[in-house]
Amino acid sequence: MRWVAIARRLLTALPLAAGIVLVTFFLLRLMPGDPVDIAMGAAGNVTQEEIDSLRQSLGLDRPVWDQAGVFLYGLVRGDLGESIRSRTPVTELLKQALPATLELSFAAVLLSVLIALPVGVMSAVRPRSLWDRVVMSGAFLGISMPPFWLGLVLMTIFSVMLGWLPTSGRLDAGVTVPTITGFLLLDTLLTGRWAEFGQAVRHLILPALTLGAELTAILSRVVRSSMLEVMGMDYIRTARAKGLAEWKVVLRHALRNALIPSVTILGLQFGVLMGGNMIVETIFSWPGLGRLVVDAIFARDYPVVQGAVLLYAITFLLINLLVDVLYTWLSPRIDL
Amino acid sequence: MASLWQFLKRMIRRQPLSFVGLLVVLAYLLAAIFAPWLAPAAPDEIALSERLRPPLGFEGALPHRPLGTDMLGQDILSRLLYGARISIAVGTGTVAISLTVGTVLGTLAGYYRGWLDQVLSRIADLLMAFPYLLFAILMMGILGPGLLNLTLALTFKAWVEFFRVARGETLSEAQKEYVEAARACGAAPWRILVRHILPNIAHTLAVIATLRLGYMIIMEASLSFLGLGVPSNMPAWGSMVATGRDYLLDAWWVSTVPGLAILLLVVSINVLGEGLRDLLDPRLRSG
Repeated sequence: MRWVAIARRLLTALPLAAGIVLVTFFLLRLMPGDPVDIAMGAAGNVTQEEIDSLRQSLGLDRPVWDQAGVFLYGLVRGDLGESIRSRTPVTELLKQALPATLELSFAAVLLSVLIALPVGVMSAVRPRSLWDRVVMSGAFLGISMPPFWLGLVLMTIFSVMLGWLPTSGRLDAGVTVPTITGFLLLDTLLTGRWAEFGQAVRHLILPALTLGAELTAILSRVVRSSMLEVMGMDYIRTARAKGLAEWKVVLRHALRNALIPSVTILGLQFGVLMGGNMIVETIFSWPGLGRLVVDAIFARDYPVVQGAVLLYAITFLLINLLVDVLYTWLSPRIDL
Repeated sequence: MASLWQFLKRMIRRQPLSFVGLLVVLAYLLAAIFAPWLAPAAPDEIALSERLRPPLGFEGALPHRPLGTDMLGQDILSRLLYGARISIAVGTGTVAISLTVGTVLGTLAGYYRGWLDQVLSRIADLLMAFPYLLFAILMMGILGPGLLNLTLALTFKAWVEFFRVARGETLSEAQKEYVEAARACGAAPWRILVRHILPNIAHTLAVIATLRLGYMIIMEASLSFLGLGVPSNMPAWGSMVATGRDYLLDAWWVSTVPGLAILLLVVSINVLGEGLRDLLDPRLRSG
């Protein structure tokens, strides 16, 4: 029954994704500024004929409705067109950028969970203690912090002043690793390049901390408040009454039930986190989707923006679905 | 007036911290309003001989430039004061329009349901699946830089949250007996919505509006940071942070000071918002 529900959810997500892409398509055409002019302007002296022929070969001389039709027809066949600037297929650009973005996002989420879970539980075990107050004030700051500024502050302290961590990119300049999955941490491990693995980790730390800061703050507050709620329940008293060690009561009985709200927030925030990567990737020159799409919007590189937005939307919808599935697993009473 | 005073007294007694937040927010507001009188210099006054001077208390500081200067010798304090106008105007403008639009559409959709609800809810779903910043960047690309455009670009997606809350609250309120009673008395739908349902959901909406205000200010700053906010000659906090990027080592204050200004304002708004939530609508509390 569950598979049917998942399939149904996937089917309803499709028109939504299509709608998002179409909205993007028309929003882009509403923007002032011509992609060919911008691309040619960068190239220097060109003749009008060259401009016209480029425009023609890209189909940009046709009416907008025609362009939309061509785009949709390509989309159905899995063809997203090619970049106006680099003439590379959009799918190729996305294939390069997506692993970088996912690696960064997963690292950010992982760091958030690793920090927020113990911190939130410890706060809930001793509410109103000094620890609780310090941590919750920190979480409050984390929620109110502009991410671009946090990134710069971390960069100033750990890269510029202390020189411990690099400021940009996924690897040091000039270093390359053969691509297998596109995830550098995996690729370096698979090929046994330990030095490059360490380098990739060091490059990942600051962007992941910046990207995950808000989630860490929100999550530790949610973990704390739901733990506090659960700790007052009858079954916790029962567990204590039968003489269980306190850590067992906290970790086995309370935590599992307290996790449900955290999973919801995690899922909801993952979408926000992915959407926040434009800022973080710009600051740390991270070659992912966020930087790709920001650059493409500035250059009016329509096909690249369309493809990237589609990928964002699909990821967002898939994550929502995943959260709902996780939900039923954590709490079997809830049905899809 | 008397009830406002009562409310403030209750706030000071039960949520002293959020009262402090309120005072800080008011201070920002006054600073923004009186910027021309408070600022020691014009925000765009360039003095290359005084460039990259640190704030007071650091070596090389100038007494008439208390928060230091940037690489063009512009006075950071003056730019901060004028920048507060942009952040506050865009933040409150966005929240006010979104609150109004979202509440009107949300109560209508929740009360009448049917096709209107279907259409609006699908639009809301669509907008929700767009990353906020990405959508705002696209809108700014279309509208071009400017205060009003910035507000509109953020509003195009911000109304959705108020719509969803207003709709959900109206749906559940409409089931209650007092609405049934009003309907039985022959009250017109608009009267039920405005006189009966709206007062009962207003608290929730007010709390969410306050909590969203801080987020909108961060969004405005993020767009300005990317160079997509107000025209470049206007001193927005986000673009001030961006200009300091190249001077992190030699002149940390250029991007640190405006960042702290944003942080303090947003923290104060959020403290105030959470205090209001606990006073007005404790069941919203979830984390």
